[in-house]
Amino acid sequence: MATLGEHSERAGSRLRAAVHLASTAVGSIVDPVTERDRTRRRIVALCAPFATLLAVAGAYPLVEVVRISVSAEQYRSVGFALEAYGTLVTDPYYRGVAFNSLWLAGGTTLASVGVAVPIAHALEKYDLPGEDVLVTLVSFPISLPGIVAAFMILVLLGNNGLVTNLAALLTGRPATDLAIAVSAPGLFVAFCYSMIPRATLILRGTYAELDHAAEEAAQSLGATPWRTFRYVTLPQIRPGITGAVILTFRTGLAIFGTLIVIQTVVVWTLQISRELATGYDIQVAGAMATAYFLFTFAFTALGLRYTDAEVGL
Amino acid sequence: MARITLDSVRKRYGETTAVNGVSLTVDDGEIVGVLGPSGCGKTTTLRTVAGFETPTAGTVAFDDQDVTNVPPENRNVGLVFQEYALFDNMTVGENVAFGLKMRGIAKAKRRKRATELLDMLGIGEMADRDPTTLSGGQQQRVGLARALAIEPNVLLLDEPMTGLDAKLKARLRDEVGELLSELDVTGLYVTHDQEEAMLMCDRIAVMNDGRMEQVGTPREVYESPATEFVSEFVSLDAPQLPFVQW
Repeated sequence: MATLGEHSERAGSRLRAAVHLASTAVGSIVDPVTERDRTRRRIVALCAPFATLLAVAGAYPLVEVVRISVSAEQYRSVGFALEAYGTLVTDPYYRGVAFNSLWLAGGTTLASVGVAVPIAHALEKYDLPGEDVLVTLVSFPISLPGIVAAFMILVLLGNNGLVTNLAALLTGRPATDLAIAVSAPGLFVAFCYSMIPRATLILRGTYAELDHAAEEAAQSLGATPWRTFRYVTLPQIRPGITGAVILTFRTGLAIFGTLIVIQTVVVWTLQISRELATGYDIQVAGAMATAYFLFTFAFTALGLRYTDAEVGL
Repeated sequence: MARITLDSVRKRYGETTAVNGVSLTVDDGEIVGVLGPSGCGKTTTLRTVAGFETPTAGTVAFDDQDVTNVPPENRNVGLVFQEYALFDNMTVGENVAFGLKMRGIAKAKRRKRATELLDMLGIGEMADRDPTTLSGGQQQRVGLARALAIEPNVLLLDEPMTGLDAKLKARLRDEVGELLSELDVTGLYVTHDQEEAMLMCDRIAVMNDGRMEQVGTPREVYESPATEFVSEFVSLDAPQLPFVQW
């Protein structure tokens, strides 16, 4: 049996070794000797701006949010209490909000990826007339704020919307009965509008690396276009589909601007805003933000663990 | 197997003419080498026979059946690619059996046929392997076995030896040449390597700038070139050619 003194001596020597290693590493970066040292220094220089941003604007606020969420008092980070988390778990209202977020993000993810696959397929596999214009049209909603996307849905599907009035004209029913902009389906469409371009972006990258010769081989062997897609194309684009699912699901959970205009379904982000702006329950808001972060992080990590998807954490 | 007839086939891409009035007949059981420099239209010609390109003008027929507008999946064409084009998500055996699966052949029968072909090509023990773990020569054998498994009307080979090292190329050339003769396959063999074309093909069609410059036996093409281009193109590497087989 080792004595306490031996244990502390071992720990001390490990610490000294670690400090020595760290100081050697820092020394080789500050004053590089070998090409490997110089490469290290270049990597550090390239990553330093983001590492600083991550520490200042990412890690520190996150730690603060977690501290707020477990604070025993409002407006001051003191003590330790899990009351806010208890509220999220036991209150049916918050469970309902979580459920809304999951079905809305999940449903719109499936729909968006489902639409993006044929778009990416057509854009990458065929020479389309006016392809540059099509690519611009498909990708420009990425740069639109969610609030503008919601406004466009109002213009299309609201009481005076173009589609609504066209449907009213065709069916003979009043436009107010057919307007769906400020409803769950309207919100669904608005979400998809923002998410389809993101899914398409990922999938186009995957399609660009597709082995077209393998597809032609399958066709020459008697596979119809659909069976070629099923047996040859789909296995090749599967990582891209997984990547698109991860990215769009995360986008679906994060959308907020659209919900300012179309507040039909109360989801997690909207509720965080309400907790901060009108409920003044800063601990619950902190707990919601922490839960959101942990869920998104775990979802992405799991997604990447079981696939070789092309989306980072 | 079937006779291939190309009648005045022309293929244009916008202002560019890739194939310009090509007429060619490949008799049942004959291997014709399509020889020419890069960009001369030989691959476009092969893709037109396979059905991946529809000619701007002219017709393609297998025996007496016009297949000009028949989609590739209904032509029963075996295709061997330069870059192998194997299905990485399937084993070697599944690759070879794929065409049979598309035809609704039972699994046991598919497996038997795949094993036979792989044995014939000397890679029978590799049926359960991931194709990406095979060497270039082995992958090309799998590609050939896969194309032959469907008992195609015609076999199209698009520069199948390009990318292989010289020693392997020579060995594979002999083996594949013997195999194609044995199986009495009707085939188009696209290559820019005249040695390969002269050793493996019954006749050679020399293409230049989308046109067929000359079609004839290797000896005819070499000894009586029809045009200056054929003369220059064929004689370039002539001293290295082993003509002993003539």
